Amino acid sequence: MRISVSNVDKRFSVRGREVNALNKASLEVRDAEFLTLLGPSGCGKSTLLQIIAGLEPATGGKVSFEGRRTASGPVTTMVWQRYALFPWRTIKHNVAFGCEMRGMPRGERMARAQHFIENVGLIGFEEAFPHELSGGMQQRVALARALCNDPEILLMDEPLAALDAQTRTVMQVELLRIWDQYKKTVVYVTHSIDEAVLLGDRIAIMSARPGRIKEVIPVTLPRPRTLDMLTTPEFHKLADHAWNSIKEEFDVAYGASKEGQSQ
Amino acid sequence: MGSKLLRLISSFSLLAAILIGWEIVAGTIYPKYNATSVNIFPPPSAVLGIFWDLLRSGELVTHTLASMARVAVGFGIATLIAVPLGLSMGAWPAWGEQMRVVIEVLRPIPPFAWIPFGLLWFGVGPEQTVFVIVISSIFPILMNTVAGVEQVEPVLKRSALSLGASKLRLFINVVLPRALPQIIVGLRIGLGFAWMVLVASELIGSTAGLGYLILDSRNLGLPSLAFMGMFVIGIIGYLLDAGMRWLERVLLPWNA
Repeated sequence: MRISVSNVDKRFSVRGREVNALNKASLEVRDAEFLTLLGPSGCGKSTLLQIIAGLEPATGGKVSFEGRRTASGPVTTMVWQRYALFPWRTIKHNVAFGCEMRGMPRGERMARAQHFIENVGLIGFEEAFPHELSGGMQQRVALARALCNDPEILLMDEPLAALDAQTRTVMQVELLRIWDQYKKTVVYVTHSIDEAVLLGDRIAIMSARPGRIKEVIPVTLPRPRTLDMLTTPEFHKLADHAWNSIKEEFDVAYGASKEGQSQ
Repeated sequence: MGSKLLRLISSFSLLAAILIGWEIVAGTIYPKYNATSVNIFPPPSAVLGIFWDLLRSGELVTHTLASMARVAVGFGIATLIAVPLGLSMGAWPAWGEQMRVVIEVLRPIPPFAWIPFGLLWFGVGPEQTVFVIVISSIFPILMNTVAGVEQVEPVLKRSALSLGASKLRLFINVVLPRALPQIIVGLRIGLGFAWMVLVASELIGSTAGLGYLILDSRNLGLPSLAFMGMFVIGIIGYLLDAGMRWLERVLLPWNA
């Protein structure tokens, strides 16, 4: 499924002050592509994701989806950084939530949930409550819950940002493995350049606020990706490219670039 | 199991010491100086004696049941009004804001101030007691229900919507369960209030109940009866609260 974001604007007011979050943001996401969205903090990455998810209305422009593969099932499902699991539901009922909302019979949805719980490596935790799990395990549940819902597009808003460095690395590998299985169209917001390069087919770089898509970098690393690639010259080249592009935006955001460039 | 029982018993040791001290002072020391001391400051043994008498005659059960029935009805009515009202206020903010102004004006009025109206509208009897109980317990239930709904994290709502929940299912499957712990806190406080105002309202306008029993003790010149009534009220209040806590644990195993 393809996503076409064209000239999306987003303005909202915070305590009476008008904030221009997005300004003519345009982006094409290809079918079954893993696109990472990278940008300085506060640039509107999350806002753009919420608009694609249909959770926020855009002030202007439009988002369209082309080429639905299945007639049923949701178009998009989101995965958040944290605190998004339902604390009163056990793991299996969290994972089955989407299917339950869409009226899937109990037996069928529990079997389906079980499948995804197994796939993310959480056998034995079906009856646990979210607060009994570590941060990494909770994000596995969040991923299983999103996949169990069988969306055509998976939208992920810094899903690993709250985890410690080691857990994050483990989860990146897990994510790569699972994505290889389902080949969903993914838009993945992150502030980690390494993560953007390691996971993405392409990296979309956003400008400082008001955000727009500044540049799209194709990631030329072969799949399947492995952690060994983190030390290859090609990886460094891509990461440097992304970093330089972002750095310009940081400079804009902090108002330091003007003098530097005029000379 | 044995150590659990031991801990339960030992948690009552201060209460036991107070009762023993009271028995010594009011039962043996005080009577030496004042022959009619039992009519002024009765010892626990006298209270226990009258407790036993009234228990055997069935009078205590009658009055206790009368009181508990009033609390059950009053608290039930308050719950049936406050929980749906609170949910609606949380669900529709504009309505909630209007209601809030009304509630904030009514809430500081002590429930006892409603007793004259209770008497005027319902006369002496169980209805006016129920009325005052409803007034007293409705506000904590209402305020906690509203707070519970407002506390629902936006990310949980967005999660549910993103997973395909309709507005109605969002309310039933996310807002309601997320607000439940706070609603139960409200119910606990509301039940406590209901039990507390019961006595006051029965003291003034009633012909049965534990409050009436206490009032009667004055007419009869039997302070031990008043003490007994007070104890029964205290113990039942304690048990009601313990019951609510138990309910909380059973209903909310995730809320650790």
